[in-house]
Amino acid sequence: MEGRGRKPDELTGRLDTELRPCQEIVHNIVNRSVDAILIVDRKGRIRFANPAAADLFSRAAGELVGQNFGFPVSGGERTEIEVLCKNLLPTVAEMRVADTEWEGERAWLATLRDVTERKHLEERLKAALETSEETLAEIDSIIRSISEGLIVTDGGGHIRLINHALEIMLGASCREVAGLPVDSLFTDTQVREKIHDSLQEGETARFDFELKTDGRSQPVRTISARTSPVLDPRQHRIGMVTILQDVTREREIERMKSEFVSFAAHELRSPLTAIIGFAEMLLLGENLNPEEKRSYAEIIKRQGMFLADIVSTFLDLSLIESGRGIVLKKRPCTVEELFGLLDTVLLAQADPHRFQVVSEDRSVLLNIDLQRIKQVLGNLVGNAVKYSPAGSSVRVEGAAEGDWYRISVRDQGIGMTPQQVEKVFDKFYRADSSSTSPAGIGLGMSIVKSIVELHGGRMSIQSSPGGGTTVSFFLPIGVAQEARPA
Amino acid sequence: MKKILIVDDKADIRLLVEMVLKRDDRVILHVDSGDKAVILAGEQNPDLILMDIMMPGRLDGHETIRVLKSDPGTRDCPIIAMTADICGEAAEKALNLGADRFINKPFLISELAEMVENLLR
Repeated sequence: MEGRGRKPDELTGRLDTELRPCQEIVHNIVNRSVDAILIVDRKGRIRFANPAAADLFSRAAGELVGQNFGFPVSGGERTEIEVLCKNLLPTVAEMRVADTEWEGERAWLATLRDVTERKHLEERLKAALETSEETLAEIDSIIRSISEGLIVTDGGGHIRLINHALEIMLGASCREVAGLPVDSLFTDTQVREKIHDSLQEGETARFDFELKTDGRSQPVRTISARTSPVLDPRQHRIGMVTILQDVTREREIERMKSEFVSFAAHELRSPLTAIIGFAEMLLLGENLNPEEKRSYAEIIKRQGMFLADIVSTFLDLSLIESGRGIVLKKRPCTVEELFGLLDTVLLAQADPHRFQVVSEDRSVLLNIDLQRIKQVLGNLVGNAVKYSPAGSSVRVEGAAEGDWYRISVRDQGIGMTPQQVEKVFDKFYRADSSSTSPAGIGLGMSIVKSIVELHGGRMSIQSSPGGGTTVSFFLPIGVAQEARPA
Repeated sequence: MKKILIVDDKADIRLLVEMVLKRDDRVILHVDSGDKAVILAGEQNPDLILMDIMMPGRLDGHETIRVLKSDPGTRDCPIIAMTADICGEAAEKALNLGADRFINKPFLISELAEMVENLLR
């Protein structure tokens, strides 16, 4: 460089003084930049590299200069390149390129920023999003699969979603009802009010209501509803979730159980009254003749046996309920022997009925627990007597039918509706559950069925209201058979 | 002669009550259902009725008490309800329907005899 009218030394000195601070600034910027700065000539050779570039490529800056850059470069672009360093951990760098000049030649100024960390974060975020989408889908399918009906409402009591079980329960579709007020799901005014009130209160609540449905054997179902608030992380209520469970069957069993308890009490107290009373009569009665004494003692014995039967029934039930089951003591015996037991069964009946006993194929051999089959007969005859008018006939008949021996007990009693027949083998069930029905604890038939099935047999009932009832059971003929009838 | 009507579906209980209450100055009648009780009470005007509560048929003990106590011909006849439940609901209901006393099964015969004696006095 040459100045006008000034000495070269002076000029150089001035240049030094004026330019040095600028140079230092540039030097500082370039050397302290955290981004890598490279000058690459048009042949792709590195002409300059700052310390950050040396760090990025894990080489000394001097080593880089003169090397081929190895990545295609063109002006104005912004690309991501993957740099493999000496420690073999790939580094991702974002590269921006600008036109520049270097020592009089056109070149590229490339700045590279290490974005490895950012890329990792991005990938993790993407993965997290995918996971949360999966989680949402999973929650959605869980909600759909819940067997109880589910309603989710917003803070204003409008439906946000209902699940599949509820769609079936109410015959509604989630798409159609979304956004509607929740009480529009129900037609019954009282039910609407109950649902509406509990959601208004916004508290956890539990209540039962009756739901009228169509096309089922029991058109009125008992539904148990539980509502609870949906809270956001700040504990603000943003809606309500209501779970509806069909508890018709459970309530029915609860009702039967509570009736059972009251009948069991009655059934135990009646024989106790007779036993205690006649024992007192025997102890205190001064002018009793031998005949009276004898008849009182017989009543005490009969009622005692009756109590023993009830207690055995409870024991059998507890055996069946606990899963231990009744253990049969089977032995081969003839039909003749079995029917020989009927006399004691029939004599045990207090009410006057006309009994007819007809048995065929008396030499047929059965492998049975005689006492248990006697118990079955006692129960069936007892029911026939209980549910038919005094003086009417009760017929017990037996006959071989193919591989099976059938024993039927037929009465001329009040009979049962098909719905009643369906429930006969339910525990605690009594054909007429009103207090005006003949006493009975309602366990007999469920135990009878267990005993017959333990023998590999089966039961059948023919009955119609007013037309009497015939209960039959089938036992396999022969001593080695355990198969069930077809 | 005092007339006592015993209503119970169980023959052994009817016999027991009859034996406990039997005396030369009493006539004991007994029936096994509420329906029969209503008819017989109307015909015989008993001085006391012993009524089992849990009975089969159209009228159980409670219903029979209701019928007897709403009929001017029988409403003044004292009734002892014989109950056999656990929590006393049956007795309470019987008293509300107009029964005068109740006795819970199983009872002592002296207890029954005394209650009857008091009501007939």
